[in-house]
Amino acid sequence: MDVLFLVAAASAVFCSLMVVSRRNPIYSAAWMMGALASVAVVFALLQATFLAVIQVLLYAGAIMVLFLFVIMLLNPTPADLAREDVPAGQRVLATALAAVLLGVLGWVFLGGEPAAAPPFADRPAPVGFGDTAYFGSTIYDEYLVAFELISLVILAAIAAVVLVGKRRLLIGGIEARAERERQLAQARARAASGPEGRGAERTAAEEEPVHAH
Amino acid sequence: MLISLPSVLLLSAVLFAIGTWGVLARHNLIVVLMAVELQLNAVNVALAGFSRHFAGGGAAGGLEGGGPTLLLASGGQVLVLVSMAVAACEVAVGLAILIALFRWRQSVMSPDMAELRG
Repeated sequence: MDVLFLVAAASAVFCSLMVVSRRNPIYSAAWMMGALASVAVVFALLQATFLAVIQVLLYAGAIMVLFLFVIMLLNPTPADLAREDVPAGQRVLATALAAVLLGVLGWVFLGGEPAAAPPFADRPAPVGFGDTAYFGSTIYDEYLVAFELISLVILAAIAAVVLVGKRRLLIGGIEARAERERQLAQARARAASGPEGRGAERTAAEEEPVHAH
Repeated sequence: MLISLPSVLLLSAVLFAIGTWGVLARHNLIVVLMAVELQLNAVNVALAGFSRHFAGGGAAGGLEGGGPTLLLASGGQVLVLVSMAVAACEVAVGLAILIALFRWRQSVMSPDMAELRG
């Protein structure tokens, strides 16, 4: 078990390093799958068997497919990828900040109380801990509201994706902006003319394109 | 004796630092998004580790099995599930924004979007 943990942890770290260091995002995505699979093994060793399965299903099965789909859709050319040249200063600063973060996290995690924790093997978890039945009863007995709220988050995400994906709404270029301004002027004219000013509103709407030209 | 709370937390910290480096030092927004996923995964590892820590009965550090503590421990795993769902939503929205940006600039490199700066 210990050897398996060591291998999985080393594999997760190596794959993660490859993810952030590859120039072509396709290779990053491929290494990312390795990293996620390694983390799934770590979950399984922590007796979170249900989470290990979900990790493979959700991350490798859904999220990475989405990533690959988008990479292939955007289809970056070698010329695009050559634009990756990050200034040396930014690279050094990023490395320094990441090192400081690692140092602080290591100090907090390993310097204090958690460092004295005995190995997991000495303290067995209750039978069935982390399996589907246990997980399900925990969710539906204790965390029902949080679980149902997830569905609301997903619904909001779906709505946001549809909204962002609409071409004319966000990225219509100059025409969309001009049209939006025209509509705004119309609304202002309507508000200024009051409820009886139907005719004034129409003239304002017809005048607007002339002004735009 | 390797699988213990400190080693799991160390793995989590290393993965999180690598993810942070990826977010800070890359221009390709697809890779930046992947690095964010890496960070979320690192947090999930820490949560699963703490969950297993508090589920163990007996020795010092952990609390006795059964009762509210066990609920707390499995709550860590439920939190991982919530975090995964949020990560999936975040990727979906992030990639949609990325495609919209690509339509705008024909590029996914962050320097091309410098005018989005506040």
